[in-house]
Amino acid sequence: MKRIELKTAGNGLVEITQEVRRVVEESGLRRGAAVLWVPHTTAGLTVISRMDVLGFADIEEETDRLIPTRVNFKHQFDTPTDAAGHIKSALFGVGQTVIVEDGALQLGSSQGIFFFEFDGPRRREVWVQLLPAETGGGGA
Amino acid sequence: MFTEQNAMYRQVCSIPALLEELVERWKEEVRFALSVEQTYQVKHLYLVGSGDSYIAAKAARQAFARLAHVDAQAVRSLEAARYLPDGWLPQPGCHNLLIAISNSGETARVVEAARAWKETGALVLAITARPDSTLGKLSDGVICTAIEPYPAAPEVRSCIATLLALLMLAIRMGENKGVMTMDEAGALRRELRGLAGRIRSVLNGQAETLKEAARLCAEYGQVELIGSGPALGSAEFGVAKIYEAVGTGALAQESEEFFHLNFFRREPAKLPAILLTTADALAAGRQEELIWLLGHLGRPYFVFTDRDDGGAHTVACGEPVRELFAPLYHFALLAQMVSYMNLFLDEDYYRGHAGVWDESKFPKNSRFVAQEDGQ
Repeated sequence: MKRIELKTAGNGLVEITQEVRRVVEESGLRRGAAVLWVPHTTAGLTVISRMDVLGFADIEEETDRLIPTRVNFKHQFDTPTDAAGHIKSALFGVGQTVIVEDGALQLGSSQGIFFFEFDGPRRREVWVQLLPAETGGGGA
Repeated sequence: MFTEQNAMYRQVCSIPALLEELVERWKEEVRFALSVEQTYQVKHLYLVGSGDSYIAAKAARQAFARLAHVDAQAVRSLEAARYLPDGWLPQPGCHNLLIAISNSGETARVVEAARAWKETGALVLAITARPDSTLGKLSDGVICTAIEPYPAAPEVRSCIATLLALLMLAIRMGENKGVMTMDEAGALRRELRGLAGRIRSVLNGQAETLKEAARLCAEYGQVELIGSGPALGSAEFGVAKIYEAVGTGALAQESEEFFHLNFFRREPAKLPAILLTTADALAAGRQEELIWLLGHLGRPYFVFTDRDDGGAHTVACGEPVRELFAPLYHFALLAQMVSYMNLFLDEDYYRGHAGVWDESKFPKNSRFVAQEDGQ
């Protein structure tokens, strides 16, 4: 398993497509899947269009509009942002699986893999486990 | 050895372990003293107490202002009970938080203040070792500061506990308000815990210098303790312990005010001074001038600080201590010094509560103001 380390500057989307590509290339895997996992409860993992940075702002703002940070969450152990972050993480999810073929991540032309920080700034990780296909998959 | 029989010294020796224990215990408990909603509701915060409790309030006030970004005042209990409500309190009352500090939970004027402020709609949070006390029961929330009791002596452990509870509450409020991240708040809590090591090191390593300071204060029968910001609370703590433990003369003064007032004292060579500070103190520059002035006046003096400049007058642990947290450190140094004074003067704590100091013979006719209306 490989770990991608991040240091987020605050809340919002952080693209990690290149980092994941590098993990696949360095492994030599030809066919299989890259399983991505975020081991945090106030962060998420998503695949979205990477073509327009204004689109990132839309996603961030809509997420905050749907789940505003408020003072009266039942979860009071940490902070309001943390409580909202748990909900956002549950809705976005913390795992993605991307097909690897011919040694490359198979993403649509506008797709990118993004880490979503909900309670930053923090030091974070994304774990990558490479699974070779049953036949002719190459090394992981 | 006297230290084994000196009850105050035994309390001092227990401070590092007490700090470590309480930071661990309270890092979760203090979270629930105020709800997030209550934390955001507070615009004005009043720390109220008498004696040691007021001193802790004064030492912690700056922490609430800096870490929790809230308008914070330390107020003596009688002033809070009668004079502030007689004046004008910010409206609406629900934006005011009274942090009422009383170890017993029965301190008359603190209870009176809590009752008076509740009537104005203010939130009341009690800092007490007895949640089932009068104060605990009438408050909206309680932080319980009960600790293992030690043999009777001028209180050091409960002062440390109260101050630590206040500092941890300030961190928690700041964390909830987003003034700092959870990671930063966690780092501050670890820093508080880390003070235990610094205190342990300075009490062991600087014992001889503390004895020298104690001998000087005992010999001259008077001392001026000087500080600014949180360390002015430290200075008042030192005065309180000197009065309680040995009964000799002591005065707390703010660093700037020394230049305007205490500077003119006659016979300066017979009046020791102790400056309480840290290298990162906002008043550090002015205090450098104060140290020069003390030397110029021929005042015997010591500096209780963190960074060791190798000076003969300095008591220091050699590692940085944050100004906001420094009173915890200063309390330990001062208490150890005063325990030595008690040895040199062979004095009874609290004058043995005998003669004119026998409180059982005091009249008990002061009443709560609220009760004068037949309540």
